[in-house]
Amino acid sequence: MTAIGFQSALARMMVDVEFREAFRQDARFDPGDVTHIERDRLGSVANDPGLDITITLYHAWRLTKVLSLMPLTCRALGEERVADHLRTFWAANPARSLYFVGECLAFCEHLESAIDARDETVVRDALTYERARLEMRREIAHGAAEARRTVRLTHEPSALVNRLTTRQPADDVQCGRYELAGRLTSGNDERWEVVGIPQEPSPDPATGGVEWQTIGSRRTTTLLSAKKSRNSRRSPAGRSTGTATS
Amino acid sequence: MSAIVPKLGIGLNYQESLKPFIVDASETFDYLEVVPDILWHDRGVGGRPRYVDDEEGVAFVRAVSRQKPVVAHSIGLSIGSAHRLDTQHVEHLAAWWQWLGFPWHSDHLAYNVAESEDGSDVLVGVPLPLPFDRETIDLVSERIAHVTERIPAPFALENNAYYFNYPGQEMEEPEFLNELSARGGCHLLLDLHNLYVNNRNHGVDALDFLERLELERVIEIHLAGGVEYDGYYIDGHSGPVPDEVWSLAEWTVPRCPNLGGITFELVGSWLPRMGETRLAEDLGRMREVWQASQPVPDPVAA
Repeated sequence: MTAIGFQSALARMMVDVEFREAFRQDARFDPGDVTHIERDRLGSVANDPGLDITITLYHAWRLTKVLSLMPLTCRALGEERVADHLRTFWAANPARSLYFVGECLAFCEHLESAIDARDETVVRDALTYERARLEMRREIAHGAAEARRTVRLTHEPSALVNRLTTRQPADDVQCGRYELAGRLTSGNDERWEVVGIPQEPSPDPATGGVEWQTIGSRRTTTLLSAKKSRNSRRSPAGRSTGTATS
Repeated sequence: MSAIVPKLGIGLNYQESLKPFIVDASETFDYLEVVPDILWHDRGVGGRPRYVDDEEGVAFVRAVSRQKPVVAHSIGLSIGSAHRLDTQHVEHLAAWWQWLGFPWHSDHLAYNVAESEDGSDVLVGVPLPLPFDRETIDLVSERIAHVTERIPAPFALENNAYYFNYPGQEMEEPEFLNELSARGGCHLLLDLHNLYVNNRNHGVDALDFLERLELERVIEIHLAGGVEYDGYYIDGHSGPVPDEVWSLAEWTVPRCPNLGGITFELVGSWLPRMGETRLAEDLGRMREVWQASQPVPDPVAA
């Protein structure tokens, strides 16, 4: 069925600039598996400014995923670098899913191989934290009742999140070594706790070579984006079903 | 003759960020329209199970459904995809009908999934238009038959907003929709904002379109607002209904004898800009349009 070839070619024009240019440059360009009417339509669409708008909407759809689920990483990188990384990522990774989490996790992998972790410690920390949050969400989406992750950051977590959330520079946030434990339930209750600050390695085999300093009793460091809003817990019966956390 | 669908009145689309309004201003609308796809997670073909429902979202919709009807408006069927019909999507939607009992359901007359060079699916994220050709009617009619066989609720397809045209189409859109509905056995979801988008971007004569459309096939109308971008008017679901679309609604609604409801579509992230007051006002105006020619809503019939 040539409609398959036609639709595939049109979809490819959405994501492959060179493929679209081939139609624009050569009136006889034939992608194969299409009728002459379909070929003419593809040529017309390739030259139609409405295709640019459609591609913009496609990019906006993909961008929304990253901005909404990786806001701290995006702020740490800055707009230009986010755009550069996304262009590279999109060119190599056509969208395979309507869903945000899978796309963002793939983008996390892309960033991890692209950034210089030694120099870009703020980006690395934001990425590490947000990747862990995405992984927990994916587990819940796949049917788990609860998901947990532990991450290690090199900046004080609360200050880091607050600075990035309020769009302030984060390079001077206190450095150290912090371990955060996160938990997400299927009821969308997400909590993060700073559970320890590892000291320098020690020879004590019982601690695996590392001593951990507990920070008094376990305290909840509820990072901004982990809070569950009051509104999302209203029930249609009209009563609030939970306390507001922010 | 029994009605095709119950007369539900005024509807509002579900978005998570609209939950407070849905709960606190429930008197402003008569039914909720949900996109089931955003309330389940699709693990992809081969996933076991493939679909995992969002517990919290489903619980909210269940609670609403005890108080007012809920209709389904899917986005992921991609009924126009030539390479395959996602029958698992249809089956999961059928499972939803079992517990939700929506009085009708709908999807887009478009495709957003194509076959990539390696045979896997590639998503383009935005509904791409189908040519108004008989080949399209042949393709989509088969899919409609499958959907209506599996889900015993009236099924409607929505006219598309498009930003580019195909030359040499065999029909114009009203005739295409009429023939598809007649041959395929589906009803029509008439998105008046999409029609307005095509009027703004391509000069489609909206009134001529409506005069040629067999309006008895329309069981639902969508209204929305949009944004201007780079010389185009975009179907953004981004705010109040434009005056021109109100005019189209006032002309059209009295001429739709089988109309079940008028739904307002808003992407939740635009609510802060639109404001709850204006949202309530637009829903109120929709109710005035409805009441001018349609019977009192009868949710019990749903």
